[in-house]
Amino acid sequence: MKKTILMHAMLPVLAIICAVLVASPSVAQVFELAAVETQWLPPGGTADVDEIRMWGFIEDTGSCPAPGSPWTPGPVLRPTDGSLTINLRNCLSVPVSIMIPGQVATGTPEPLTGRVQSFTTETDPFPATGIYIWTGLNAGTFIYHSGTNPGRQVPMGLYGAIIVDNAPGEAYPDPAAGAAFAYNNEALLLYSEIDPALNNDPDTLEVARPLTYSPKYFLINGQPFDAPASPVPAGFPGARTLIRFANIGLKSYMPLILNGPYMKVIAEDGHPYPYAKEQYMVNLAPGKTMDALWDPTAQGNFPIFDRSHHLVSGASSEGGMLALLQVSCPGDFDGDLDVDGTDLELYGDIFGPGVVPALDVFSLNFGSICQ
Amino acid sequence: MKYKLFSNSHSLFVWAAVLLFLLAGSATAAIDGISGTGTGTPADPVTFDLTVKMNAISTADGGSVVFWGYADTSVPPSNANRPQYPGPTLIVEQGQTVEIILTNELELLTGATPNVSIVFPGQQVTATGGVSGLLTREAQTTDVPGTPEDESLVTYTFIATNPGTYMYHSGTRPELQVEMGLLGALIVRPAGFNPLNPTAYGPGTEYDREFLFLLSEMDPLIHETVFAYGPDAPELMETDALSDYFSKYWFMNGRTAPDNMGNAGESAGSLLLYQPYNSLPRMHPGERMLMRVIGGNREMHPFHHHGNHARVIARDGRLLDTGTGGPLAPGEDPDLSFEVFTINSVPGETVDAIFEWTGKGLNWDVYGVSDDPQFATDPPLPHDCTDLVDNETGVAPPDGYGDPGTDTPWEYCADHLKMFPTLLPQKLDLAFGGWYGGSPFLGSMGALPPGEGGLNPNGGFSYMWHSHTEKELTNFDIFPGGMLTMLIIEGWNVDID
Amino acid sequence: METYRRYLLPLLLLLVVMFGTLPVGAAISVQCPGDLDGDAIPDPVYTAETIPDPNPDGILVGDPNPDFDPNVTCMHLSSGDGYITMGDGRPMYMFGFSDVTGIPEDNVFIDGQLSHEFPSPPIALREGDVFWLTLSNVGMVDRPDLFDPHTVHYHGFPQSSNIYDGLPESGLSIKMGASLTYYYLNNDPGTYMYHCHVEATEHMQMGMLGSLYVDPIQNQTGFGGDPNTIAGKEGGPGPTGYVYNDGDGSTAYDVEFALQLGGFDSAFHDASVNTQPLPFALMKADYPMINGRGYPDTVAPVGPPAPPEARPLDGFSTQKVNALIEAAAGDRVLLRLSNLEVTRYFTLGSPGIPMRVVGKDAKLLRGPDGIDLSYTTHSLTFGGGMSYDVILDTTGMSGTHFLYATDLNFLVNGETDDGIGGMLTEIRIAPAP
Repeated sequence: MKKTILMHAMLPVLAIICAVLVASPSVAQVFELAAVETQWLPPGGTADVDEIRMWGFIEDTGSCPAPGSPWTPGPVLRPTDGSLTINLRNCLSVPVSIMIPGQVATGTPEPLTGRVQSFTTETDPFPATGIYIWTGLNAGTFIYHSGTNPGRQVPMGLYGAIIVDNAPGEAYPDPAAGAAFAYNNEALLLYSEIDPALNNDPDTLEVARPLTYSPKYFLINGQPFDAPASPVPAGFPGARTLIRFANIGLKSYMPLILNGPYMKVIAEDGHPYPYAKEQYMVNLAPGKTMDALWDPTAQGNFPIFDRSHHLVSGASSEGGMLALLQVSCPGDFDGDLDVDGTDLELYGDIFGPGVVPALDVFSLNFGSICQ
Repeated sequence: MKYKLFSNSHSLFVWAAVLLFLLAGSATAAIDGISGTGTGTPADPVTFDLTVKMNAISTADGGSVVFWGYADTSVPPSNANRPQYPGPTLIVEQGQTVEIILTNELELLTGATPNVSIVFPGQQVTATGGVSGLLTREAQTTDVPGTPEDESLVTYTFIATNPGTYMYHSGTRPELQVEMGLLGALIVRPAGFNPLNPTAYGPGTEYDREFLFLLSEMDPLIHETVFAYGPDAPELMETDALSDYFSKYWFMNGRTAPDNMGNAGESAGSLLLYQPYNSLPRMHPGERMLMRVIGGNREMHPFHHHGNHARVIARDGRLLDTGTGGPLAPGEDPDLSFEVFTINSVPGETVDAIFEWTGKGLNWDVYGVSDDPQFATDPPLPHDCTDLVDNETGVAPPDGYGDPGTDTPWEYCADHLKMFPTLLPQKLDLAFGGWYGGSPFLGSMGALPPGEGGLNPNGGFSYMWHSHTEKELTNFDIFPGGMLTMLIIEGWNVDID
Repeated sequence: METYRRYLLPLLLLLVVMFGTLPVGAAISVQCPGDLDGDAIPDPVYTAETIPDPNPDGILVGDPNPDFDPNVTCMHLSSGDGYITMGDGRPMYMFGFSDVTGIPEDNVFIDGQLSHEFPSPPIALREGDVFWLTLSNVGMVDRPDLFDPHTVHYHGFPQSSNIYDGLPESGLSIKMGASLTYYYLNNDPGTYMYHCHVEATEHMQMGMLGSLYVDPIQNQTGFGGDPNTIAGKEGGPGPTGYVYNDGDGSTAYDVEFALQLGGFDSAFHDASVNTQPLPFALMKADYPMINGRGYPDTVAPVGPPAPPEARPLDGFSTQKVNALIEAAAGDRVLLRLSNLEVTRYFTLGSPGIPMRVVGKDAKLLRGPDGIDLSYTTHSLTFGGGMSYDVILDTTGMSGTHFLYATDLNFLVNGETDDGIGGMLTEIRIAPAP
């Protein structure tokens, strides 16, 4: 948590990327991933009793881990040189693959004969490995997920986000050659869901079906809301935040921001709109990504909740798709919306005595909101 | 199995009310709502007094659903202090400071006393009083023992900075409380609004009539479970009805069809006292109708308006306009607006659209040719298409449409006196709708077999405006019903003001 | 029940033979200007069969028919019940339309029965043409207790009249054994759709749904006064067609496909064929489809064979439209997309090929002052009654790509079929010629 605050607070006003909530550092252009057996314990659940079987992508450690580690969405991938290679180790007993809607993998997709099982080249079951290569990456927010038997493998948890910037701090090339798509801070909100009955079905080929698919848990960045929740860092007053929305659920979700300024929705699926749309909510279809610019003018925790009301969590009547977008002043290391002596102490702890940062964040002027 | 339309006495009563309504002419062309007290300055804000109470609403299959509603408890109240579904439509003006005082009088039979609240998407709200909740401050029930007085009362304040169509709803367990009925519309008139020359967002967004289409749905299982066990009982979560939502009733402005086509207010009868709003759009050819479409609960609805495209001019209370090119000239459309034949209504989202109809280009005279031999037994009246001026400006040059004050204003004169092209089958081979006047021509009637027609006493052109998820045109297994209404385009000789 | 139904059709035929005609007053009757023999095909010249008798004007074989108008298009649709085959092989009772244009009037009542198709026959029209659509109701053979009338609703027709809107509550619907003719002057190009609107929840669930689109006049005129831009569809040297009168060729395309999303609720259809109360409140689609088929039938060149209870007009299949998209690399592929499923929304995704959305609800995506509102995406969400025009640019592409419901629980055919199915089709790109 300290690490997250550190990266947040170290942002100067100009163009440096903020880390996303999922605590994974930026990685190199070749990504080593593994598809593994994991499990997820719902909040309030009993360990060793209530776990739900999951499959997930993790950073490959060189060998397949023992099943049963806690599931999270796959690491956020952030290629920066326009190309992407994923070496995939399959630790599952079923074939798996990786596809990125909106990016086209190299290698001619084989003409099909017969009934398709994967939307892209498969990697055979354990212990096989596969290589997936994309060149000429398009800028934007995307989702990577298994393209094999997707009606089962996606709900099992085989997905993650991938972000491609046009340049550091710039989301898309701007045809008007202005700075319209530049941003100071960033928040990633990845929406997904879990149906325990489907995931726990021992027949690993059985898929979600129209009459029986019934998710009970609704997640943002892999977690349902659970009070007291950790807010999502969402920038400074007076600075521009880029909110990257992505939905890998099988249902639509509609994040709505309360009490804050409107968003300017600038793109979907990695393609900028001809004109920004001014809205207080977005409509995220299954598989959809959207990018929105948000210019908060005050500190605070702004609720962003699913307006299609998936706000329950299993047997609990609270939870689901609610998050708090935290707008705080730079230098607010402890996240209490107040920059004071406690933050100065933390600052010293993080950098060590005698370390002078390149920018004195305490002196940045954000108007009367921040000192 | 077939369910015959109008077969039960409840429906017959409503249909009679519809007929009387259509003969008498409706109220004004503006939306029913309340405007509060106060002038709107920060010292004297426009104030509304709302209280949450429980009662039951009526569905047109003869059903009854327990609901929680916002009641207008201002002095004097607009609906006799009754909770209503939807909550009162609040109508304020741009720039005004608005204050809503919320009181909680929910007393459930199980003893539960849930908190309630209000959130206002699109507004920057300051809330004081009550207790802290996840989304906003909440009002506790007044009869919780030992509660200090001010925890049962919450004041929500905001400045209505932007004109447009908005909504409000409970911010406490929205998946339950909005479902139970805690939702309503908020309309902000543009600054300087003149009801005699109304606009939605100022110049360029003029309209002649406005109608609210607040779309919502309910799953009665949730209401029955809450009523029997309470909102916090495990039985409610065990239904999975909140996670795997499955609606069975669909509403326009708080009523299922055909109840929504009855009178508004108390004259709709004792079964609809808690559902004061109706949905009965009527207009003349050439008029501009402003459609304010709101997604009230949690499901999307594709709102299909037979008759013509509609032009979407705003979303979430923001005009679809680049803001460049200077102020909009009168009659000029917002430059990012676009046309649809089905408006997508998303939960929480609001859409403003303009609908117009003239019958232009049909290639036959919609008012009929009076000596058409096919209609010799019910000939349409002769008429002239007089076009000397432009209808928007009132002066020459002519615009191709019949002029105001003539036989047939807005008639497309290029089609004048063109004969009706097809031969209609004999009546024995036809089934007729209740809204068929007996003649294909606007403003004309024709003989129909006994018992047929009758709901269109002026011979207007009628079009169904409905959810195109056709399952939603039912009331819990009974067709027809649900989310549908009929637009009637009446000849200019019919007074609909 | 089976025994009863098996005897019903011969019984009805016997009645017709005995009485020589349909019930008193009813008549299958086509209205089509220029049609001399009642088969809904306008006749440019007289033939031996169509010369009137007596012949006071001395008309000769080959004489031009003065009533023939090249801007008139006619069609004769039959309506009633039938059967189709689902993606898992299961037969399904349904209601639908079938195209009986070209069949003599007197044969339509018999030929039409149990011939009905899913989707209903696609209707392709041209701006400036007048469309005369005769709808005949041939009854529900396997539900003889039903006497439902039918209509055609031309969904989205701008400035529509009451009488031809096809909405039974506000106008006319046609009873069994008779015909009703609709008249439309097509002033506005775009992608529409059509369906029966009688007891809409039931008849639409049962399958009376089809594609309908109108080509723009720009196909015939080209744009900018340049005859080289006249569309290939009209015999010109330009691209195959344009979607709208864009004035600049920005909606040009090389190949064209109309895809309509749909889905059946098998419990509802079973209740219908078994004369049980219809479960409206429980309605849910368990057989998602594109163009009336579930994958892999969506990409099969020929439809699945119809169940034996059906009497398909071609003697083989009642599902005549596939959803396979084929193009050569570099082709601009037009997809005319619509949804008429009655229970929910679907999102159609194209992960590998960007979708440039140029039209929505039969209108060019352009603001009133000409601002270009077209945009690019990888998925579109459809409620019922919505349409989109999408152009895929296949430059530099190859192989097989996919177009499917990103609502991934709709990639099945029913509840027991194994393997990917349902709302999925393929985009096969051949090397550039």
